[in-house]
Amino acid sequence: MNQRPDTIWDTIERTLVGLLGAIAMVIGLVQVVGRYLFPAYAISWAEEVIVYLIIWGVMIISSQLVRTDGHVRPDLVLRLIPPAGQRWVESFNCLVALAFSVGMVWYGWQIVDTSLMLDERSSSDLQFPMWIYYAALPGGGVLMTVRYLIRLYRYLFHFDPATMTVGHHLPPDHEISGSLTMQEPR
Amino acid sequence: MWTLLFLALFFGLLAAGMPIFLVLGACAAVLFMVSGQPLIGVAQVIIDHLNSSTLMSLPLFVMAAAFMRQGGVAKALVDVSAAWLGGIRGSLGLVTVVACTLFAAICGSSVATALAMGTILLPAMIEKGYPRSFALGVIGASGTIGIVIPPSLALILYGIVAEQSVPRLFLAGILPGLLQAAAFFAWVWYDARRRNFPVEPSLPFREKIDATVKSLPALAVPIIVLVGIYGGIVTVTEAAALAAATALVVSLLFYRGFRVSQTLSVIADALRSAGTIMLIVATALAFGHWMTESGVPAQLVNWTLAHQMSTWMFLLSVNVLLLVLGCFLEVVAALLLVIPILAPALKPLGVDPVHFSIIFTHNMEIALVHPPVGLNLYVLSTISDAPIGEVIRGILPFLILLVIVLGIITYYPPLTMWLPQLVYGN
Repeated sequence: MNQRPDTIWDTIERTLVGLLGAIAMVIGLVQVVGRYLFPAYAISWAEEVIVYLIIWGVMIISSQLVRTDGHVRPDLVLRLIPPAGQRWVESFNCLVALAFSVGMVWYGWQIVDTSLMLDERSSSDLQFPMWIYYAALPGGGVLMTVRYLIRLYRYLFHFDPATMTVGHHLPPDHEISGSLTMQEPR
Repeated sequence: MWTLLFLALFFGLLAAGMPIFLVLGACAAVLFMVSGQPLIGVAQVIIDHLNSSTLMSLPLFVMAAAFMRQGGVAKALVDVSAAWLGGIRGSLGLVTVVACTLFAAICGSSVATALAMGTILLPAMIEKGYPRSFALGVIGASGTIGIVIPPSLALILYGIVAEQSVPRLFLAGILPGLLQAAAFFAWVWYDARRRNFPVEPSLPFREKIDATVKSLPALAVPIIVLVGIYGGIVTVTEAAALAAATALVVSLLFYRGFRVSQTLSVIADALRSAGTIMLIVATALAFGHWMTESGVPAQLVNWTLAHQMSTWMFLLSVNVLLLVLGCFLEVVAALLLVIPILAPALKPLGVDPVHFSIIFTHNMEIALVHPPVGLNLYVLSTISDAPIGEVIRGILPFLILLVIVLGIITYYPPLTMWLPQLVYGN
């Protein structure tokens, strides 16, 4: 998918994820420093909260991964197919992705609902309400559903073989992200 | 019959270029439906398995590496290696091996290591008149050291899936990683004499010290991680948070590769690339959950025991299987698919899971560079505009060395096991 300039929505997503990551890092630091330097103020729930922050971050950023075609996928076969064929294969992929994202929202919501009903808390001192963590799943699902709808719409009605076939958005972007890496800010 | 249909579905979706997390998620959903379990189970498994504090060390280490990479640390490491290796024939090739090994101690990923070093060293080597295929080969191959020298993202995932202690796995990776680096170093040294590569002038002593001092802040990160974990001061996840914080401070204060205002953006990028892994982890674990319940691993154990397969035959067939799988899947996906099936079979066959972790990661290193689909090959071909054939020609001697090292790792367990046993006992 060709690269469009960031909209406000993209900026909000990225800034939010940046903040979640930064807080996670700082909390980890505070726990270590607190334990050795200021035992009176030490916290013990850092690793638990880091999980909640990072998983929310990952679920939000998965929306960006759809937009920039950053999800890891093998495209060797796809490259051999002519653009017109790729269009339909990609549309099919979008449909499966939509089914999965909607499933995330639907079943994720049921998990959140049950957790709210039972007033489920984490077992640490913090007694964190678990529904907030569980809500990351349907939350990410909603964002991905919207992004995949946009993607499907573009493949069906605004298909541009010059920019929307594989090979035109080649590495470094998605192939590299394929393998445990980080990349330049775009 | 079901198995065949299922395999057709799995590889069909992969061939359609569907994202791997989706292929695994869709397959897990189909499996749950076929075996009559409610679909909410998939969602429950996903969100429960992600709730793992060890897993969080992965995004935090990726964050640390992102700070270091954007911060200009790669250049400092290249400079210090170049300062001490000047005056030897083919020194830039040797610099590549050493700088990649140093960077591997900061970064847990092979492709990232190859990329960080390649963007600096490739133009330098070509300008000095090194053959391009050699330059590409040495960078691509040395990059693979990133996956086995701690911190290693692949070993963190292995530890989670196979229920092994991550610090122990990290220790196991050190000597095999250094052996690999030594083998590459020796080959480059020999090849440089044989083909008469250029010599860089030897720097005066003052400049050597200067470059070393400049690299010290960068080297503080791996030292903090190692001392923190093995001094029993912090957990792996805390070590990762500490590494990220140190890397951020070092990058902002000493190397200034990015500004304070760009910090959030660098973190978002790090989480973005960690996110691709975490989503695959999530759905692969749902898949693995079903796999374990289905009894496939138990059948595998019974089958190997019934056929009186010896340990070395088992390891050899696993090596071959992994090399073949490496043609289709990248490291994370291969690990998450294969380890849940193989891990229960290791103990009955007398293979130590820690030893096996290094065999596995080394196999995946080879998969990263072996033609036709190694990921490092494509990264290098892309950043250099060289045809893929040229990259393959350059990497071939290193590929042979990698296979030899794999043989040593597989059939000489003390290389892997000595260090963890020394520190933790049996």
